[in-house]
Amino acid sequence: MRQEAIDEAVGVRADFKGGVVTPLAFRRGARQHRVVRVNARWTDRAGKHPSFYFSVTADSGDVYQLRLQSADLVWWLDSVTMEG
Amino acid sequence: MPSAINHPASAAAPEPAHSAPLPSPTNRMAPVRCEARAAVEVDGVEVDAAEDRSVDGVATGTCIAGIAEAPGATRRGTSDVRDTRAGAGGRPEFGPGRIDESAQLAPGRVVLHVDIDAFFAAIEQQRDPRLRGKPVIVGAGVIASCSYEARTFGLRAGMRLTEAKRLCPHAVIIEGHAQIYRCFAEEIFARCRAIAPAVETYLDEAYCDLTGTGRLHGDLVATAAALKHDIHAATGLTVTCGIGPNRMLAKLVGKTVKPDGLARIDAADADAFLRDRPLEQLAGIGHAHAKTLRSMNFATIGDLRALPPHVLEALFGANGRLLYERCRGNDTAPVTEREIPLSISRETSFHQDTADRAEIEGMLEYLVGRACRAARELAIRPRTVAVHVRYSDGEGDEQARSLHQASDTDPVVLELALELLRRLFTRRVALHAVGVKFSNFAAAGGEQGSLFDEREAGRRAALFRAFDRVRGAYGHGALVSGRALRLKHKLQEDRHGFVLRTPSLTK
Repeated sequence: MRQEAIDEAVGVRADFKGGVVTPLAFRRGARQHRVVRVNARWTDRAGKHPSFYFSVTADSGDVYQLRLQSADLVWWLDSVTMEG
Repeated sequence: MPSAINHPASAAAPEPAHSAPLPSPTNRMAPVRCEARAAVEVDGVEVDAAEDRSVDGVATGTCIAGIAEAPGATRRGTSDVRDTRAGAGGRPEFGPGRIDESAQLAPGRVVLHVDIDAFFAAIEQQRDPRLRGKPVIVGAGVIASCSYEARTFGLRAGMRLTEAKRLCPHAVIIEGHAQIYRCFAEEIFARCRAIAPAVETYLDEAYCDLTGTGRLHGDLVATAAALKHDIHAATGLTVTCGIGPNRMLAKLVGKTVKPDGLARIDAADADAFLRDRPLEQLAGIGHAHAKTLRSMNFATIGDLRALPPHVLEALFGANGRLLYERCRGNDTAPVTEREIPLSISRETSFHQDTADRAEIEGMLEYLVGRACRAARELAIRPRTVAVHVRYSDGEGDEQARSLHQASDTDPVVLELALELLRRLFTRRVALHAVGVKFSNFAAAGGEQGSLFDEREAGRRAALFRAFDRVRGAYGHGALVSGRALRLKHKLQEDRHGFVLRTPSLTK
């Protein structure tokens, strides 16, 4: 497994149903990645505003870490983990 | 996730009551006296009567109630778990709504121990499904945690990675994500706090004091099963729960049903449960104590009961008295929220071993800053500061000194820490790790400086309180000072500060 830090603000299409946020797809550069599975979600409550983290598997098969900052509602793409 | 098949009852076959040690002039404590004491406080019964009742409890020879998921069972509700109580005539189904009378009526303490199974490795497998079913190691230098798949190859926490790679060459090795693990732990501990009035938390385990909650919860076994279910639903992680009349027994009975198990032991069964267990399983017996005792031909916890307290004290010092009580199933340690810790440590290994003094001092300043902030948040001030180093050849050293006055301000503590580092780092060998530890705490009040710099001390304390507010709002990495700035382009950063290689999570 190979993890690469990305740390980019990205556009995310997400479902906010029943008080639960679920990312559905995100756009990085020109390419749109469809989320096929949310593997794990956790909340970091350090600081004034919590951040919501998601580990997702994209349609490419790679695993991405997305973060929603509640302070400004900006989504960040933190990292990608690839095979190999 | 496959359900674990646990057979706690096999380890808890009822023992004849006559083998239980009775109170004597040298053994003033009856086997379950601490529980009897609790009964006295709760019920207002005479002490002697309570002791008699506890000894009778041993005589009845009831045994551990172990609850384990049946193979292939789903994880929904208590109807899916089974009561494997050996003395209950087979394995009756443990259905929803059934009242576990022994749990409800137990007059003494009830402690629930919650242990997160293969914590770090399980989170990594959760985050990346491609790791599931594979041997996963989390750690740098040594194994901090490994998955159950890795354990089948003989891997265990604390083993050096070189040895681990030899035993399991195809294992996936991950350095770890301390901050993520902390988030998951907090999620789990928050659920523990929802059911227990007092919860004592550690890195990957928690003790929950359920004493007196019988009327609130009803069946405490079902409560623990529901907690397991909640935790799994929220985090995807499995935990093992042990319920006992004290911390030691709760933890020990949980160990018999790991992973993903649930077991209960009553005070009356402690004697039979403990007697034939290897003495290494007793809390407080490490490798050194076990070696000493085995050389004296002691192999089980029951064997240890032959030693009078003064002999154990002569062998192991103050710890000997504790062992005397623990081998009889007695543990009176309370479950507390640990408002004041014994020590605060911050340590890490370097991403690459280094002899660059500027980098080492920068790291030490950063670690001191983190530790001072932790002390200020707890409103305590350390008197004693220790610095330890580990060289790349495995050699290590530590020095500690006390401040003239307890202090929680970074520059005061750092001055002493740097002095200690200069004394310690004397070899011409690169450093692998560095750490700082605070202990001997005093409650924080107004900082008392000397007559002429009192105003300066007050200003400095106010400055660091302001730093804490900024860091509280924007993350620790929002402010970096002094020598720690030298780490700026060498280490990755996130909102918690520098991403350390092997940060200490809790101490």
